[in-house]
Amino acid sequence: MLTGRLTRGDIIVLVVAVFFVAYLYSVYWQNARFPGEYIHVVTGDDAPKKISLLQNQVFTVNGKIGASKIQVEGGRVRFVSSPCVNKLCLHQGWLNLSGGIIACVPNQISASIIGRESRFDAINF
Amino acid sequence: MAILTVKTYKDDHVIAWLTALAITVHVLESTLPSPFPGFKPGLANIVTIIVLCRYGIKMAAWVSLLRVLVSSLLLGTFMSPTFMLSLSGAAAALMVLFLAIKMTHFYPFWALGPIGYSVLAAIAHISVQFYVAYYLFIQHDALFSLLPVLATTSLIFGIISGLIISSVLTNLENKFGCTKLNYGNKRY
Repeated sequence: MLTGRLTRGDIIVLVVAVFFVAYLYSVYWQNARFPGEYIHVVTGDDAPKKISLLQNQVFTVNGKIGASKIQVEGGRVRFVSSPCVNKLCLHQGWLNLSGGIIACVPNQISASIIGRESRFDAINF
Repeated sequence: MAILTVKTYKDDHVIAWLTALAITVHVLESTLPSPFPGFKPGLANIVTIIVLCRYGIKMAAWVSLLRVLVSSLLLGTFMSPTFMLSLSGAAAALMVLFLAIKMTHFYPFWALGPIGYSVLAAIAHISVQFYVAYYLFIQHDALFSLLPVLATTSLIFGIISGLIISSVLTNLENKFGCTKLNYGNKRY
């Protein structure tokens, strides 16, 4: 019954529709749309420091309870070491999308990725 | 006092009955729980396409637009965002169906069947509805992340509706002995 009802036009429409949907996925579900350009590192009450994501580096930030190490590599950012107890900042791993943020609350340090377009408005855990 | 009499024709009765059916489907569907807000199977479009296949685009436009108007009045969403979205989607679907029918008229070799019409209408419906939602209500780029999912569901429901339409048309054909279905090539 089904094949009897499917005309040539139907098959064309179905194929085009499937390609259209696939195209939408490829355009709108691609994380490359949201590259980060630099990170804002905020420590305690200090003004945010702006650090480029283009330059690979490991830098140390002095927070409330000690020094945290933050690594920037290939447009991504992560915490390498932290004096805090839970190490939630380390467990977050690499972040690469604009709008993403890693925070170490005990040490009062946060690093957020800024880009032209934001991938997220806010992230809660 | 002058008495105004309105003469009704056979077409008017057909439109009225089929619109009533479409409104019923629309209102029933609006009570269905949806896993995500904004995702609806669009079963009322089944009626539109059946009308299209049996009576042509003009009747389908009447049924579809009246259905949107009356069910919005029944559901209390007249002139609300829901209504705007519903109307824009219905209008877009009708426009695409009109073009498809013209195409079928000029190139009968590539004639569409119920499934093709249904999928075309569903995709046109969701695309235009999405852009209306974006430009009128939520101007945020994050909305575009939802577009692929919406398009996928509309494709799936378009195919399901197409299968339903196809079997309804077959049954109508068997029951009322229509020898050849009019896929919108000409008015009956």
